[in-house]
Amino acid sequence: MNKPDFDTLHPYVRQYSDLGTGPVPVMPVVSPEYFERERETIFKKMWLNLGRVEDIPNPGDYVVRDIAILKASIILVRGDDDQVRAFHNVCRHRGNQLVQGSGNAKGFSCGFHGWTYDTQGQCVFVPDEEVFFNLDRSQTGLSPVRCETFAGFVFVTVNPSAVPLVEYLGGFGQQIGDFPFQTMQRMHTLKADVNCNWKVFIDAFQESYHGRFVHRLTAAAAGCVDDDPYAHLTSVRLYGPHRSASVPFNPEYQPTPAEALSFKYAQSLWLHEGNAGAQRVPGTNPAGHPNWLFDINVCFPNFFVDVSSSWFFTYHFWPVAVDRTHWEYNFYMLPPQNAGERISREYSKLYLRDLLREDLSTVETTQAGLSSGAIEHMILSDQEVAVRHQYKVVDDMVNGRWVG
Amino acid sequence: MTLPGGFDDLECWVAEWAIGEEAARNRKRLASSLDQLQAYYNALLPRMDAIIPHLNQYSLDALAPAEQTLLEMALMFMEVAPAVEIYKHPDVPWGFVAERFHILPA
Ligand code: FES
Ligand SMILES: [Fe+2]
Repeated sequence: MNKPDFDTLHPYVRQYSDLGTGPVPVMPVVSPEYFERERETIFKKMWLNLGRVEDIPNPGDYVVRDIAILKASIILVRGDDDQVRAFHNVCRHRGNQLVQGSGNAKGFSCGFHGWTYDTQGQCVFVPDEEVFFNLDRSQTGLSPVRCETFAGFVFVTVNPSAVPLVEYLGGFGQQIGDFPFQTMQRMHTLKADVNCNWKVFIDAFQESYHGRFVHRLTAAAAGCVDDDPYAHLTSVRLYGPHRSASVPFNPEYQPTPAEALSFKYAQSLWLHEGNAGAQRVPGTNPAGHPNWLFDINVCFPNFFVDVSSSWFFTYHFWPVAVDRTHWEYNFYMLPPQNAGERISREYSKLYLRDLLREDLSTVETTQAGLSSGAIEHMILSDQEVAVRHQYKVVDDMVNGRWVG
Repeated sequence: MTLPGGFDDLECWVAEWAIGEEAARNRKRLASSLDQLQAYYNALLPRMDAIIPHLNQYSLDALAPAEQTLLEMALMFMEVAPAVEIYKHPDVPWGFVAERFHILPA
């Protein structure tokens, strides 16, 4: 008699045995003290994504990002030398913030006393300069923030001793780096202020276990078929603090009439040739699974770049307080060449938008449950290896145990 | 007539359903009954294979007003489709509250 092979149900504990199998404490998602330690040991130490180079395409384009978890406001600006730089949005005179929002500028002039900086951060004008004392304007430029790009993604860190970005991303960067990000354009942005811990929020997007329930009407494209009722992840990769997981496609998937129309006039959301042709688009389906839907790619600590054959999207989870997170989503597809492609892509965009309303429906009730103190631990399956990995990495960093 | 020739049958839907911005199209969907959405869906679905080839004759960035209106009708069809085909409800029934979920253009 054939006994079922235990290990086929638990592939990831074998692959990553140092993560263990035990329950995971709730304290890190409810403790304000822990949140403060995360601020110092994670968010002030790691590289954080602030967008894409296409957000500021022309010299003088800038965008201000207020980052609550850093207690900082950062200007991203493309200088007149075409270099993308980041500066603290703080005037060197007496500290006033210089600018808000986004736009195109020759430079930044402080509203308080008129100190003026160019797009490379140099201080170019101080009103009534002679009344200062040995003022050397070459020493009063905007305070720079370390800024590096990878595959068009702009990252900053306030940690002067952080390793270079490419080293920080490591194998994660190698996996996604050749995806044709720069050929795609943003279709829309979604935002929400949500009452939950940033890690609880992320957890809702890094397992497929919830699909059959949260996406009970919309998950037909993913697994959820008779021989894979829970759409098991087909592969998982951990890269230091980062992680990646592949979600299966349901080969019996039947599109609705509107999706069939969408697929007729352009590549659709799910029905893409990549399902059959593994590795067709560089930077996708790293395990070469024949029924591949998309990859969940989590860039530690708070940034996702999920990729499929004809689209990618990003999530940013910006912690505001232990139980408050600002969420931002950007969805990208190839620019439409005609109205048919435009209309087709509208289906993909809206399908995912509505599906995200489903995802967001659980995180505040989960946080409320965890904050009640009723349970001290979460119980995780092998399919929730990414959830387990997140708590391990965070806890190692918060407690000074993280190496590499 | 606000639509291109050959689409007179859709003229009666223009005033209410030709809407320029995604967020406004979504608000229209949420403010409609499922019966209203179904009626619009039923009117547009069999016409999409005429609408798209018609619009594809023109440059997307330089559509005449009549074609632009027709494009907005087609985009509204895609907005309505998940409600009719998947949720059987104007909204995502158990979704995160729409008023707190902000839709911004690209
Ligand atoms: S604080 Fe900026 S000029 Fe005085
Ligand atoms: Fe989900």
